[in-house]
Amino acid sequence: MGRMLAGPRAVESTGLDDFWQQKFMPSRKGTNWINVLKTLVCYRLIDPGSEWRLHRHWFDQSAMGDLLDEDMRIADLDKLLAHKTELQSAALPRTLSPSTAAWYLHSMSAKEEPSGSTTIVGGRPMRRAVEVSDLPQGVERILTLAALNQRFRTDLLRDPIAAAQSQGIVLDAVESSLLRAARPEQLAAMADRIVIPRSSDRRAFVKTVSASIVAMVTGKAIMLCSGCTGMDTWRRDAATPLGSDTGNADAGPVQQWMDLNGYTCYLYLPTAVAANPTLGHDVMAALHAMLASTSSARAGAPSIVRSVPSPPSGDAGHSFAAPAPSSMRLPGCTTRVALGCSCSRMNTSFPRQGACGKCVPPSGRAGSRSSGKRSDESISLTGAQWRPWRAPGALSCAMVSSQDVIAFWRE
Amino acid sequence: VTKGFTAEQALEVLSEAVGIFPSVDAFYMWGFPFESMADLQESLLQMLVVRAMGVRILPSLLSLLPQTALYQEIRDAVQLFFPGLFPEYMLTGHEVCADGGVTIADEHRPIYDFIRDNPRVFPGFFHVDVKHNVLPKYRLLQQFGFYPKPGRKELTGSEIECCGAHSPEVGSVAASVAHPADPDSG
Repeated sequence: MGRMLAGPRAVESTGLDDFWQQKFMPSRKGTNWINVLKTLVCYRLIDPGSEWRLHRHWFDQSAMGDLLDEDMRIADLDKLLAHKTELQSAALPRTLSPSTAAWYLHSMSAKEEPSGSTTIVGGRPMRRAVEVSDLPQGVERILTLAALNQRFRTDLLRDPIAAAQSQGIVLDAVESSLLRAARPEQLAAMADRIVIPRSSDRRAFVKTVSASIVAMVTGKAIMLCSGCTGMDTWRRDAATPLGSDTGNADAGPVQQWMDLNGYTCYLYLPTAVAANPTLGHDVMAALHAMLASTSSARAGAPSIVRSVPSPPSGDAGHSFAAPAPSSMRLPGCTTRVALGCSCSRMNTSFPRQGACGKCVPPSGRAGSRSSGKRSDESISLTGAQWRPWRAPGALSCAMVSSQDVIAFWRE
Repeated sequence: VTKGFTAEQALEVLSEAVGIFPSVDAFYMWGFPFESMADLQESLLQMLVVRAMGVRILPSLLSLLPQTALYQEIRDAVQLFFPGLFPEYMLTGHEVCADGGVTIADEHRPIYDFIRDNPRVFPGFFHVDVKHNVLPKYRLLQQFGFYPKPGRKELTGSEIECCGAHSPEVGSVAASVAHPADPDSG
């Protein structure tokens, strides 16, 4: 209580109350801004915490309201911050120097410069990423692989170092140490939980990383679509049809992209797959065919806008004939197809050929949403067949997966 | 540290959350004086998994706030004002951050002199055993991309949003920024 009595007095002794009194008259709604300031000073010095906590907890639980005869729960710092520069240059009397007062003001706020500043004050700017090739990736790779492959998972839980070696995954010293120290049940839980992120352009980078990791680890190609994943920004020049960024072929998967029905689709090809000049085209062609099939069934549905530059034989111009759903396999395409969806359980449901609880299987029988378990009986690995799949909701995606390709896109 | 839930429970909730919310953040506090390197490695393993899920990891170096029981317990321990590595929540807006290091411009130095001279008022700016407790852990987190690392290519810009609390866009002063070094080296 004594500190609370002293706090407002401290503000008055610095002259800050006079400074602010000239800036803010009490508002029409009765907010007395100088009391807001005093409250913030006391909060910062006595029991610092978040603004949320101040409004929701501290003010109510302290004597501040009684001392100031105020209800400050509607206070907002933004009005104070507009005068920061002026405050810095003001000739404040007595205790605090202008720079210290400015520091104090700035320290009160986490709102002023959320990004693009030369500091990381308050709101934690988010625009930073590290290229995945520059980071140790062994842990993510083996856990992702464990999520995809039950046998590897068993090996991992038995001896994670040997399991990694068996797959040619190089672990650095720290990663080995992390894995040796981890309990098997910990690793199992992590493998169960690791997921490829869902669509969100806020997580484009991580999504890309995950995709490339899966491509590297599993030897599968992965296609991601901007409509589903918000990955348009990964490559600014992604509008170029079927561009490619081979980079160092030994270091990781090849990234290719094309425009498919208005969405930029990214295809990650592991090195071994990329060495086959036809496979990537086959995959894309098959996707085109599938899209054509689904589009033709709906009046006004957009058509395929571009195709690969070197389409496989049988292609007529920039479109593909839509084969019957039961045989949507293009000539020469080695892709096998399973059905799934693009929800966050995608890569854990895939290896078991199951749908997550959010999917409606082709038969119309809903998966088990409540349990979140795969409904293995509702979905089948269809070998060499393409089968369209439609999940409910605005994000209507299909995932085509096989030993060769995992893909999903917006219908 | 008793948070009321286990690491396994946190992992479970985060896994569910990424399927529900467009963005999920996870805060990991590190640098406790009683936190061993093994403890940090356990946290690091989970941070890697959670990051792979698409959760944004926000590591936070321990900040000794004056009203906390921990501070009251260790307040007499040797503490060091080490502006090269401020806890995230103690940054005031006058620092220049780049490549994981913090420097103070001359015009703002009086502010930090004031802080340095009043450790009991501003304990959050001070560390316990930087050399053995903070820097080794910091370097480990750097290695895995949770903090910027000098010489490593960092992707910045509006197209990127990712895992890591430290993400300054550095202005012209960046060139003069020093990196956090061993406190004994000066």
